[in-house]
Amino acid sequence: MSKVQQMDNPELNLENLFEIKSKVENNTATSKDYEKLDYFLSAVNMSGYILNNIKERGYGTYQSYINERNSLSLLTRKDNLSEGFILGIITECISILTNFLTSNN
Amino acid sequence: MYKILFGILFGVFLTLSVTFLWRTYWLRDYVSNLPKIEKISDTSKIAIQQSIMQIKLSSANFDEKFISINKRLDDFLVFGGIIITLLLAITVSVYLKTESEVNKHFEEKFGDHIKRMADYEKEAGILLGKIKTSLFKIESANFIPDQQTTQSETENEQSTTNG
Repeated sequence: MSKVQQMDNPELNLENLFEIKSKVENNTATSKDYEKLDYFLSAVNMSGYILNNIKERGYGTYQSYINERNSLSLLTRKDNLSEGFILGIITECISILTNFLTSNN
Repeated sequence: MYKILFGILFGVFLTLSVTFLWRTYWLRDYVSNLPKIEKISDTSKIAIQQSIMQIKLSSANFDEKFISINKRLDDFLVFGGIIITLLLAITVSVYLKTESEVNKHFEEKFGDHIKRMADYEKEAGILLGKIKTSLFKIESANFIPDQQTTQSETENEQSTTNG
């Protein structure tokens, strides 16, 4: 049982997924939300997939990625491509989980 | 009573006479180089006074020159410090002003282009992320069936060659 499950006991359902999706799209998601999403991905054998990609792109932690997304100036941003890349990964993971839930229901 | 008074007077007289004799005769034997106080003439007094005045004047002149040189040095250091500080302040202000002006100019002239490029980059990144995730999912889903299909394909090939 992972740490996230012990703390929050998140339940994989469409409501939670849509909540995380809207948070990601509006850039209000916290590192806990990302951890929760990463935990949900274990249902489709993709546990740790988001964090691995975040680390691959040189961010290290969820929080550093969140900070990068929150930086306002375009000129001071580190890497727009990486930021978009991780955002794409997260949204695609959410859509995979949504498809998984709808197909199971 | 008279005897005592005479005795005291005699003692005083004796002490004075011994002192006088010691100063006039015996002291000179012990201290041979005592300066002899001579009577200075008026002309030499004037000359001495003149020379003292000259010495005083020259020392006063020297002191004045010394003080004025010190003051000039102080002025030079103070004004030099002020000038250097002003130059540094001007350089820093010009640098900061230029930086802000360049940023402003870039934002005015190329801000839209930069924003558009950043948006394109981000959009491309999103698509790349989606593609990578889809590929990962497809590969992980088709890993075992792929092996099975390749095995069945080889079996079919073998059967056709044999048959």
